[in-house]
Amino acid sequence: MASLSLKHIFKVYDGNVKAVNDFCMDIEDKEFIVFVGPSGCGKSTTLRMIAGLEEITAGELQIDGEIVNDVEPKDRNIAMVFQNYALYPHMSVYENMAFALRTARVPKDIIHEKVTEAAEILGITEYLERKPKALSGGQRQRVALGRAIVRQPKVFLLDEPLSNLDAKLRAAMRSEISRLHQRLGTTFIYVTHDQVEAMTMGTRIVVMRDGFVQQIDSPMNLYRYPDNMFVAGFIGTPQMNFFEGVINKRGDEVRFSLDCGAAFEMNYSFAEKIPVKYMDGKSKVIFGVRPEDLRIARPDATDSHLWSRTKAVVSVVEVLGNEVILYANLNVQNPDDKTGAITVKTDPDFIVHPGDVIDVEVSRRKFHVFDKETEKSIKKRIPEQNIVNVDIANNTIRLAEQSFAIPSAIVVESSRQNVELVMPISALTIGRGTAKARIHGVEQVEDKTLYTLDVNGSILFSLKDGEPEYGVGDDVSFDIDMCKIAVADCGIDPMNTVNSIDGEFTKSKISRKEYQFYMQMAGHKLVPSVRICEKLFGCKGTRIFKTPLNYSFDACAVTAKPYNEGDEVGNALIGKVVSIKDYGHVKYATCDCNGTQVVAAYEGQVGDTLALEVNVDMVTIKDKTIDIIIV
Amino acid sequence: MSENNIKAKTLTDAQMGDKWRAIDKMEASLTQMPKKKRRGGMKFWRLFGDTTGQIVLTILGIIWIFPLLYLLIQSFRKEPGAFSPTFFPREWTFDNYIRLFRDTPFLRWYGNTLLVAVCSCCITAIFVLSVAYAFSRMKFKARKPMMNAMLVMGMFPGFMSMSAVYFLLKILLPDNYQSLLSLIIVYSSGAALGYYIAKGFFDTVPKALDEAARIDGASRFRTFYKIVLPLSKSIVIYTILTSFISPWCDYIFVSYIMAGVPDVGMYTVSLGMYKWLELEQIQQNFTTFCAAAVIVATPITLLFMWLQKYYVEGVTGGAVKG
Repeated sequence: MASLSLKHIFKVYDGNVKAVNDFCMDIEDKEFIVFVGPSGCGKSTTLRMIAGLEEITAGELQIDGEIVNDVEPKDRNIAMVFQNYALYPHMSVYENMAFALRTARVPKDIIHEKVTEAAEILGITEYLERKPKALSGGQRQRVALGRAIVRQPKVFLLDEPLSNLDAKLRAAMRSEISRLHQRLGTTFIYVTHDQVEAMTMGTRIVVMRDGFVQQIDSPMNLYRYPDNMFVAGFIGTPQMNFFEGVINKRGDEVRFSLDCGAAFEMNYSFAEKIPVKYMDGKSKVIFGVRPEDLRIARPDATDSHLWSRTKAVVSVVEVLGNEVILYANLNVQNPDDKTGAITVKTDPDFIVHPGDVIDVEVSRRKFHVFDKETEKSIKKRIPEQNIVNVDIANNTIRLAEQSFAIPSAIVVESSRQNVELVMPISALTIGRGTAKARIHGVEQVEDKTLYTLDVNGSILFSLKDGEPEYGVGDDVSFDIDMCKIAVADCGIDPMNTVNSIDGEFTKSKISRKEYQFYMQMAGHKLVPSVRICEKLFGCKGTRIFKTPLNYSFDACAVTAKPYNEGDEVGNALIGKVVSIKDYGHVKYATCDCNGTQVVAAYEGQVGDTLALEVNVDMVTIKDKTIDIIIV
Repeated sequence: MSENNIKAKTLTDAQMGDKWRAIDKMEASLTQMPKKKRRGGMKFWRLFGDTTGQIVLTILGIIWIFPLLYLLIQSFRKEPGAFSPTFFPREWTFDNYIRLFRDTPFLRWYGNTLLVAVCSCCITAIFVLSVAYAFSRMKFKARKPMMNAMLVMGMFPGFMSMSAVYFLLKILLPDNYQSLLSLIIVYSSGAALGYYIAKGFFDTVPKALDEAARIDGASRFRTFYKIVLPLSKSIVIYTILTSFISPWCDYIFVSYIMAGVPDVGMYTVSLGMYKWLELEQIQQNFTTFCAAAVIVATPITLLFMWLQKYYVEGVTGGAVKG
């Protein structure tokens, strides 16, 4: 019955300690969202901000489309279950559950009906007259759930409700809470530090660390396609194996050489999502593979083309009955080498002893690669960029024997051979243009389709909304958006359409009691909307006048018109066109407004004076002192 | 290679197991052996400690109970006079009590004191508990400085401000500053300074309860009186007792504010009874004084005996885990 929307939520304590950083998420009705992460990662703080127990420093929280930042908890139509139950000890179970309804002056017979119904669902009917003291931990937590149920809230918030219970009880209550979620059909937001709870209960999981959201996805996607090393290591037991190493590409063969001495080889088709720039044999990467995606080589295997083989020496064998966990080392010469430690999950048919040297096989389909510096995945499900080598000559880019005309906006001084062209995956559109490619792979990713294109041997990716329209082997045409390409060697940068201007927020007195507020930037004053004023004051109070701010807005938020001295203009910056970049389908003018450069779409001449009308509702305002987005 | 290794491993494992078992045995013997020895020693020392403690306590008890017993016995003495050669009276009588109520304005004083004490007790308790709750739960800018300032102010003895209070009362109640009303004002207006103990107690009531109540839709006040107060019975009782006792027993303020009032009927017990101990009256009024003292002590004793069970009762059981 309720959808939630969290937009750029920040929580800052004591002026500079950031507990939650730029939390953005849309929660659909009836979802079971789990916030998971190590303690102190900001998950409980986020939940408490949703509940209204903590103030939101900056950002916008909507429940059912209504902004509730300043709404009291009781009016948000939420219910919360606390980690330590928080039952009223001097009241009986019945009174505990009835308290909220009595406070709301609900008639007695309705209270009775609701409480008995909730007690029925939770199986606590026989304890209704008892005090919380006389109940066991599990029963107390059920009373706490019951207290939430009787209010019939739109959103259920649960803050580590099972962490005080013992393991067996926890497993039982886990499935009961899932069932309760189905029975009640409301939105659940559940905080836990236990990844098993997260994986088993959530429809979507938010992994957090140090106040930052690491990844938001379904349990299976988190497991299969972790965005970074933290998520990869956090989800799954035993933990994913990580090895440092480098990648070499020789023709169609890719070789992963690990620092511990081991190496895997495989065909390039298994590694085509890894950007080629990491395959130079020098860039350090982290190779990750889950214990369950490893196996001990068997001679009778029919699918050996999907597995890469290496040797390992076993040090510890844990027999768990249904499976065996081997702790081994890829460094056969020196089994104490920590960089080579590997955990293998295998079935108990294999009899292995400590000290044995075994053949371990790595799944070629289910391995992960991370950048060593950023710890981010470089083998993403949807690659972020297309990176290809091109030749540039005579104002054309030659990409795998296809030619693209360079628009006049891009100035290329000299022709270059074999330079690296980088473009975001969104820059490549299939189904239009003149260049030809063959579809090499089609993968459906939720509501989008990822096409792998083979352009005379070069692999490119394109993402399209909707169901697959083409099949493998089809010939398609494609086009490249020249605004977005970058070639570092030739000084070609993508067009930066985002204007980022430092400024401040000022006021001036217009009558005895009235003030007019201004967004002051580039020597001009823009009149903010009421919404902006409310947010700025809500976040910083009157300190906002002393805070250095950064205003940023895209070129599409600006409407450029020719300006003559004395013209009546609205919320506009006045500037002179310094340069115009012509990309063919669109022209961008760079204007000089009192020394600040502003970019806007404009069809005209250099030297024109323009009134750049800014749509203030599309402006993002940042507090520069602590780097948080206020609007 | 591997087979040898396994054998070596299993052997070491077995050895390790034996070592653990040996440590277990050692631990068991360690915990048992000295116990036997210690028991003998313990017994003597415990007996010695207990005995000495009991003796010291008995002596202290006698010292403390003696003045009270003396007062009680003197109140039943028939022969007049402040000084008696014997501890027990030669003749026992109830006359002192009868005289107290028949011939003196004691009953009037008693009523005055009760009125002042009850009124200022109610006001004080409300002040102290509200201030303590506010300091415990609400977060506002001046919270810390205010708490510190109040703590420091509370350290000065109240009677230091006596003359200032006198002039303030004169301004506030120009017509009847020498009245019971001004006494109530004096006793209850500074009460909030004593918030500290109650605040400490409220701090122990889990904040999660407040938050749960807040989500359940309860206002601050409803949370206070429906959730926090019932859980803080002992501190409420403590606050009521202390705020009743101090005006009930006070002499300094009442003697200063009521100084020179000719109407004896305006006095409180402490002031009136003190007058009986003046040199010219002591001979004739001493036994009556003792009887009055017994009557004054009675309500406090009863109040304490009735409320003391709440002092020790733990009330937060089952609220939260831990």
